[in-house]
Amino acid sequence: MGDANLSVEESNFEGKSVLVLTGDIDAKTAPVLKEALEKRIAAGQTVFILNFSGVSYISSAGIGVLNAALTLVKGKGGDIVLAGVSPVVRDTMEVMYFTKKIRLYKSVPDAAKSL
Amino acid sequence: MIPQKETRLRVQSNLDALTPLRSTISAFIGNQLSDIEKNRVILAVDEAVSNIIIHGYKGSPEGEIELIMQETPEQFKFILCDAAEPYNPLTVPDPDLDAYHEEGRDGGLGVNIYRRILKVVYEKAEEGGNRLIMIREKGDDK
Repeated sequence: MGDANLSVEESNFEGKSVLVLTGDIDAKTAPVLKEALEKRIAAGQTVFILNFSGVSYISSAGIGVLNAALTLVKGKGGDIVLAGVSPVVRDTMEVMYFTKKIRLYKSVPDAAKSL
Repeated sequence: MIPQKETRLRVQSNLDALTPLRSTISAFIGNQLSDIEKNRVILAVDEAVSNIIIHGYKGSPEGEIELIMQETPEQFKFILCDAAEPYNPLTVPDPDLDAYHEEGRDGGLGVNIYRRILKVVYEKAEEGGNRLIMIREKGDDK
């Protein structure tokens, strides 16, 4: 298990914005992800690659944030895709049927190619 | 059946308690379940505790939650005791998950998740508050 924090760092892959998430996404830390996404959406960004390779846990609070943000950006013609999701985190998303809605890729380059 | 192992953890109703709580559950289960199955159990208890903190105690850090973890040869049992207003999560109707995702909702899945992962029994505690008993049969591991 990671610690109680979630960090969100912005990087770039071939001109595409990538948010690198590190930590656990639970009821405590989900607001950190929500703020990071909402701030960028308010500034006009509608396409996101989220690098999940540093995320070891996600609860329904985190999936709720992703679900709301994904619906919002899709309404603006954008998308959110995830890269490097661990088997355990992927399973949680499957339990919540979220993998029916969001696209998961093995790596950031694969995710970038899809956009 | 008398548990072969029992661990008790008492935490304040603060979301900071979630990480140590997950670590304690993980250590209690050890390597007896696969990583995915263990994570599901941890997720279920985490969702229940989060709901107690956010909805039961309405975010007040003054409340207490006790987690009693018991193991028998057949099962793991997680008992959550709180002193919040009586609330039976088994009365909550299942959400329409397709509508949930289609409409972009951002909350309200916790009860549904833990009820699908674990067998759940609710008891209104005689001394006030709630007891949520969550059971994972070991034979259910894939």
